[in-house]
Formats: sequence, C-alpha cells, structure tokens
Amino acid sequence: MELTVKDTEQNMDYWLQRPYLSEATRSIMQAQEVLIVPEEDLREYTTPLFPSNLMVLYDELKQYFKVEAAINDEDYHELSLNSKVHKYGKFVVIAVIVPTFVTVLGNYISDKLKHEDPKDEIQLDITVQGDQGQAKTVHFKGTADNFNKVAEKVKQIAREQEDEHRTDTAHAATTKK
Amino acid sequence: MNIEQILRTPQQLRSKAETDTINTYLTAQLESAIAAADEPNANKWALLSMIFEAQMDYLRVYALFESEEYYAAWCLLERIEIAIKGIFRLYQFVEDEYRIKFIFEYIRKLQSLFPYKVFGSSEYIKEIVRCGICNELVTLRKRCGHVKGQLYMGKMCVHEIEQSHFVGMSIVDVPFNKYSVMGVTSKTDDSYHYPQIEYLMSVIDHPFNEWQTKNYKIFKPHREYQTGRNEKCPCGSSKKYKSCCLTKPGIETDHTDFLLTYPTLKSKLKMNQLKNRK
Repeated sequence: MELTVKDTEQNMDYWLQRPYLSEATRSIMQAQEVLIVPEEDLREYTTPLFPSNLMVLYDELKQYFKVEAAINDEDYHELSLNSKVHKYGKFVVIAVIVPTFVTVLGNYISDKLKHEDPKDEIQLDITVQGDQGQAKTVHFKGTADNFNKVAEKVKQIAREQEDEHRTDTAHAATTKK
Repeated sequence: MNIEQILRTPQQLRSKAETDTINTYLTAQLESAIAAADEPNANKWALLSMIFEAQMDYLRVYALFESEEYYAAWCLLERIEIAIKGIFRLYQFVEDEYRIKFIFEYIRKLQSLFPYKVFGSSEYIKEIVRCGICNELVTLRKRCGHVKGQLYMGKMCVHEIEQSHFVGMSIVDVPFNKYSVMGVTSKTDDSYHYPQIEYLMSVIDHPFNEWQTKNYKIFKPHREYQTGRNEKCPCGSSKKYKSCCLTKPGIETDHTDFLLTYPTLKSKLKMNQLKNRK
C-alpha cells in the first residue's frame, strides 16, 4: 500500500490558470467545491488525460457537490490502461466538505468494486485546500478495504487546515485591537 | 413455454434443438415487445435472454474443457464474467433463482485453475465516443441522457469508441483484459499445461457440481530432481538449490486439493480404482 502526503502548490487557483483552458471553461470552474484535475504529460500525449470511466464518477459527484473538471469539453479524453488497478483520478477539494466528499467517494468505490476481486488495487489523489489556498495532496494506491485510511488522513488534514484558519483569524482579531 | 421454469433449471441437460427453440422463443418475445413499443417488456425479455445466454455459455465452457480447447474456454469465461456484471447492474436477485450467482462464483474458481501468469495490456486514449443507443457524441458536459449499462427498448447502452489512439502495450500479471494471455492464441498454439482442469474434469459429473480448492505447499522428494547444488532451485525461487530447498525436506511446490461438496460418480469410481490398486 502507498499512502503519502505532501504539500503542493496545485490548488484550485493553479488549475484555473492552466494554459489549455478556454475562458468559458475557467468561468464554469470558478467557486467549485471539488475540481477533478487531469494527468498532464502522460505518455507524451499533448493534452491532459483522465482515467477511464471518470465521466461516471463526475456524474455521481455532481449529485452532491459543486464539481467541475479542469478541462475544456472538447479536450476531455480518457486513457484506458487496462491493468487491474482501478484509477479514480485526482481531486482538489475544499477542506470544509472533505468529510462528506470521502463518504460519497468511498460509497462509490465500494459499489463499483462489489463484484470485483477484493485484492484489486485502487489509485487516487486527493488535494485538500484550506481557506487561504494552502494545499496538501494525499496519494493512495492500495486495496479498497484500506480506503478508510485515506479518508481518515484527508479528514485530519482538513481539520488541521481549519484549525490553522481559526488560529489565524483569532490572531488577526487580537492584533487589530 | 414455461421460460421461468427453464431458466431456474440450467443444470438440466438440454439438446441443441431444445436450446435453439428456447433462444427462438426469447428472441420472438423481445421482438414482439419492441414492435409494440413496450419498453418494460422489451427490457424484461432482453434481460432473460442475457441470463439464458450466460447459463448456456457456462455449459459451453465445460464442453471446451472436454475438447481440450482451454484458451477458448478462458476467453469464454471472461465474456460470461462481463455479461454477468451487466446482469447484476440490471437485476436484484432475491436468492440465486437463475443460478447466476453460482455461475459467477464458479467462473472465478475456474479461472484460478488456469496456469496463465503473464498478460499483455493495451493502453489507448478514447478520443471520440458515441452512445450505442442514439449515436450521439458522448462528452463530459454534453450527454444524450442514456446511461451506459442500462437497457433501452431491449438494447443495452454501450459507449462505442469511434476513434482511439493506441499508446502502447504493457506486460502485466493482473490484467483488465484477461483474453490477452502471452504465449497462446489457440489450441494448436498453446505451450501451457492444464493439470488442475484435467483433474477437475476427472472428478466432476456436471458443471453444477459444487467444489472448493485448498492451496498449500508440499515438499517433493529431492531424489525426483537431477539438479546440481549450484544450479537454480527447481522450486522457481531463482536462488541456488543449495541456498534454497536443499536445506528443506524437499522441493517446495504448490499443491491444490479439490474438495467436492457431495461425492460424484466419477470421484467414487476414482476412489475404487485407487483401492483396487492397493
């Protein structure tokens, strides 16, 4: 199992500035709770790519959140790798909705894999973005029954970022006085 | 025709003529519902056709085993597996009224008996995708409303890839596409051995006999091998024999026990033969 956490600059603002996005796409990407972001420079293909069947997850997430993908509609392509690792993509999620997000995502994965081999691996990245734009990425590759470890880690990061914001706000209020 | 009774008894042996009659009946019912624009009934008959086809394909697997067409059987097992996943999306089984859950479980068991370890995995980019029902382009934000995997007037919605870009091939040990076995394409181009399937066929009477396998390691006597101390160990570990199994009671080898839930005629015959030899 791989479960890593690292600081990242690839928050929502970063993805809004990607050069391949049209102004129309940037406009619909504004003020989202979840951004689904692509893999870039994968296999030397010139446009960014998403994992196979991500469209289905996009539809599912849209039922619960304000969600968009960082790609123009006409440039949306899925890469089918055909190994047995189930890739669920990369997400940037604002901290406050992380608990609900991991529940929805966990239920989706559980439903998709209920007729698959329990030894199959899943892979995904979740970037948690705090109020000030600070971001940390959790990368996971492992069996679905370990997804709870990802959920706990992501929720912990979200709590830390919210605590940081409260501390900063309290400090700013104290300083103003 | 009591189609419900037929589908609930897939273990009943039927002639090819009977099977053809059932297929003709199912097709006629489906076409009649489509002609009447009766979508619920069209979908019902389409689903029953899928169930019957999965049952018959499962029986065909054993016919392929009998004729030693093992790779063809492997490919058919994968097609049944995919079809049944589609059935599961469409129908909530109360118990296992059509034996579909049984078939799904036993497909996995049969697949585990094959010796295949290495597969080719294709990698491609889906560039233009169309809906199999209405032929509209499928994009992330513009959809026709048809859902992949659902039935519409008796036809399953699939996404047809009109244009793709081949990126490469990988060699994998756990493939998504199971048909892509390295080293075999047909019965006449097959360097594998299938001792576990051959043994299974020697002890079961029928595809719906229940059985389990138990895998563990045994030690085969050193005297059965002519391997030098400094040669690679016969167990397949890549270590030298002297550093590996030569220090153990024998060559560590995979062994599979077959456990029948109920004795079969063949297994009783086998036991009698063993007793007579002693």
